[in-house]
Amino acid sequence: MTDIPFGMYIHIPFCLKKCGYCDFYSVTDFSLQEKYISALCKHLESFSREKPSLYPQTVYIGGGTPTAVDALLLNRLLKHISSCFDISRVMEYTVETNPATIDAQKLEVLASNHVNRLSIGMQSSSDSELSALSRIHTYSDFLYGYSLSRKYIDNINVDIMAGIPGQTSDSLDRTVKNILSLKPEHISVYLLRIERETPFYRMRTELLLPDDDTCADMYLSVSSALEKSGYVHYEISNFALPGNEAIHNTSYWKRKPYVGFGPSAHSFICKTRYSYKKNIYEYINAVLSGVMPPLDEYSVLTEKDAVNEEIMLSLRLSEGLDLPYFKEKTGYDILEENRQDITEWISAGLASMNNGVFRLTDRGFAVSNYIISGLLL
Amino acid sequence: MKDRQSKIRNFSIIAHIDHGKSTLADRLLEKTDTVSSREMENQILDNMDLERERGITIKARAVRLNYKASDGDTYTLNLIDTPGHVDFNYEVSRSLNACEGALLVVDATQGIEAQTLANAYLAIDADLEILPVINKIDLPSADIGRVRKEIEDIIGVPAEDCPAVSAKTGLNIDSVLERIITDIPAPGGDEEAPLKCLIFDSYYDSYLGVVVYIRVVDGTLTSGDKVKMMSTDASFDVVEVGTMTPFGLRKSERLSAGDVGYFTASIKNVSETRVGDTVTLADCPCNEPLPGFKKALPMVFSGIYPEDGAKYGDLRDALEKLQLNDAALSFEAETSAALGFGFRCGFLGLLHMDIIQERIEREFGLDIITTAPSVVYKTETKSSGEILVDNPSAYPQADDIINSYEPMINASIITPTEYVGSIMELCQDRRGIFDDMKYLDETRCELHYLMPLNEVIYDFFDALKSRSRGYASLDYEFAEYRESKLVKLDILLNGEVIDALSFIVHESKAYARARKICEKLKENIPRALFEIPIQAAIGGKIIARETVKAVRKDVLAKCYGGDITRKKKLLEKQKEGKKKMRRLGSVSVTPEAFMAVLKLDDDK
Repeated sequence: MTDIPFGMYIHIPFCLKKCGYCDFYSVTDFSLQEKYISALCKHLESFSREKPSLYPQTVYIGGGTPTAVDALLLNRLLKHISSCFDISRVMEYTVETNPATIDAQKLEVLASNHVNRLSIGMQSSSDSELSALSRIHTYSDFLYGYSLSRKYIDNINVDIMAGIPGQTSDSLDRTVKNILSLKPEHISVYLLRIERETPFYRMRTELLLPDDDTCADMYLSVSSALEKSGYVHYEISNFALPGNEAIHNTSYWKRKPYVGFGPSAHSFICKTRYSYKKNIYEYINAVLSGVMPPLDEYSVLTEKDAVNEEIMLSLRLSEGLDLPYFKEKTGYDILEENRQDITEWISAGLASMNNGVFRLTDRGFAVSNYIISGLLL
Repeated sequence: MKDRQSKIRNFSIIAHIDHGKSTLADRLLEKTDTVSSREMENQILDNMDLERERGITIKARAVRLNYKASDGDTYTLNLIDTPGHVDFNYEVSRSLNACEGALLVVDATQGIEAQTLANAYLAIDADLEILPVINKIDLPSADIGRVRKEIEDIIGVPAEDCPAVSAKTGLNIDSVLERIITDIPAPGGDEEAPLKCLIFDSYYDSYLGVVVYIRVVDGTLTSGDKVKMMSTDASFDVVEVGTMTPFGLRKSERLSAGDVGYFTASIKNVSETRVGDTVTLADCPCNEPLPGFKKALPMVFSGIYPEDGAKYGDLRDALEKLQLNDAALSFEAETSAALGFGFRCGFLGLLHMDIIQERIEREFGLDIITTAPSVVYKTETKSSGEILVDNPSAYPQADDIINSYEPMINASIITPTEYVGSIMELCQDRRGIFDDMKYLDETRCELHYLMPLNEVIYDFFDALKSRSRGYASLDYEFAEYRESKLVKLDILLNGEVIDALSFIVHESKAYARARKICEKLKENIPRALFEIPIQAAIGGKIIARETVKAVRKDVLAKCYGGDITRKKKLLEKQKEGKKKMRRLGSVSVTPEAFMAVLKLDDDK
């Protein structure tokens, strides 16, 4: 009996070139791709055999750059997924892609294997900003890839970025205007963050990064431009035309179960969070020799963990947190414990409260760490 | 003279800090076999950890040595160690009064310094025989000839044939011991006269009660005697008398005129046994007390607050315990709107304050916040006449003040001549009034200034050291109260006065200080979700302003890929950071930032 839905995440850790800011796990050695796909297939198969009661409600293939792998291998992986799992109940099947790696053959592979959503990493319509990010594509690559994708896939997300070295409010406005002319179903807006262990971190003092106040202005102006064009700002970084909110990603924020495959992939199931080690070699060896891939994280959540996760994740969503309901469920009376702060935030226009539901406004989203960390247990 | 007395020598060692007083004491102990070198822990006389680390003596100590001199007789030497810092001048003078002579230790490389001179004058005032000892002659830069000449020229004590030693290596220590016998007079005093003893130190012992260190001037003291403290008339039954060895107390039958020793009498608190007081027999008192008794008066005050408000009781315990042994420490409860419940504490000086603060943290494990030090101001007010103010938050309103007065000190600074210009500039800047300048020799001179104490208690000493590459030395004593144009400067965060940050400042310095403290606060207050105005005001008038801008971006934009744990940890860490912050009115400040602001008095 397969009656428990979960979100399935598959990590494809290959990139033609690593971008200076990115801290997701990937390698550039494509000679591993065949073995890796074999390992993934084996891992998926054994999982489906061991957990017959779980069925995927969403599939998300991310990376790395999934579309950088060979089309035939990609086809093999997707076919394998369809054969291991009951794909008919999958509501959303997303593949991440870099504009420079899209071609008709790969799109054909995706479309013919039930993929119904594409996430394209556009980042900017300025070529100089793209090269500052060490992206491998240009804006015209994006335009070409986007219009080609449209012929195969109906539901498209485009990622753009604010806070790029050298970026100005004007150039960001142009990017936004350009993207709005395409009307993708979904837009993600990320503020560049300098993560440790990235090339950007090592050169952080030399980067001409817009300052925090400028970034805040950028975030607010993008948000209002997208909202004006009919996009729903449903999560801190995510905007969708009504009805096109990402189901898979929303499952992260709503603490629904998900299972990840591949090195660095994270899972959350049965109150447990675990992730595989960021090492493709160890992953391949373990899976092919029939043992569990080595883990980075394994933690069974305490009640306090669960409370804090729920606060942190709910407040990322425009849905907000229903405080009376939360109190009933967890015993933590957020309003009573933080009345003064909450009142101040509301009067400063950072948050709102309607029928007990506490939500952050766009300005509140921009300082959500400050607010959320103040509410944690 | 009695034969017993002729075999006693009572002496002190006085020196500028770091000239090797404690090391010399160690060698004397070793040479007289009072302590074998095997048992020797360096500088046994300084037995508080803090003293050993700072290389200074905080409390006076005394120890008895037995020395077989070259004349074949065995002598009892009572070495009374003295604190070497200006904060403890009174204690030094009392210790010196218990002696007939003093070893004046002078560093052969540095010569006479401010405290050498100050201590030498104290010894001369006490009519002591001064025996100069030139130390550190093992150092390559030692200049014995120059130092001999300096001692003769500046202090006026013959130094032609004084011992030149290395306390470090033990060289010539014997000659010091011989000269103690030959040069320092034996004590006098009448064993049959009514008892008259000088208290030169005391400490609290949890088994014995207060142990009182005394010099018997006249008469004889034995256990069972009923004694009386002449300043308070309080009387006690003596339980035990004896002498001090490096390893502790040794009971004896009696102490007689000329002896140095201790007694115990189940006394509960050292405040009953004031340094300088005279002890006599309750039934057969002496006619008059020994001269020179003063009650120690605190000169510097600051608020001490527990960092964690729940530790208020622990802080009180700590202060009470410290006070058992330190009659000069005063404290009373005070409340600050910003810092909660704490204590207003009075100290003899800055070093004393530092030491108490450090002992609270170290010996009692308490984290404390101390407010900026303040001196005691006098104000003449329309409403309540003359009042003394040791706490800026209690300073009267400007329109109520007729006149205000601040304490002035006589500062004496000895410095190599090349730094004179820079040091005079510093003193000028600190509102010092030049008195005179004397050349000690071709390379060094002594400056005298009348200075406001409130300019000295901040960072004057550090500034002096940095301007003279560490060579200048400072000594000071209270001079008088002088009329002064003082104002109270209030600091407002978000429009609220933060009482713990208020301070009294001379009118001419108010603007500069106000600007500086606002800047420093701006650097140290973390940005919050709201703009935080920082203002400095005199009365209601704002004289400086800075603004801490609001945080506008603090967000983890990317939260997918399922790595929730790491993000949760980041936020939890941020929360922990906030928890440690201290709320000043509606503004949160990290404790480090708060300390940085209170100690803003740096010259940088």
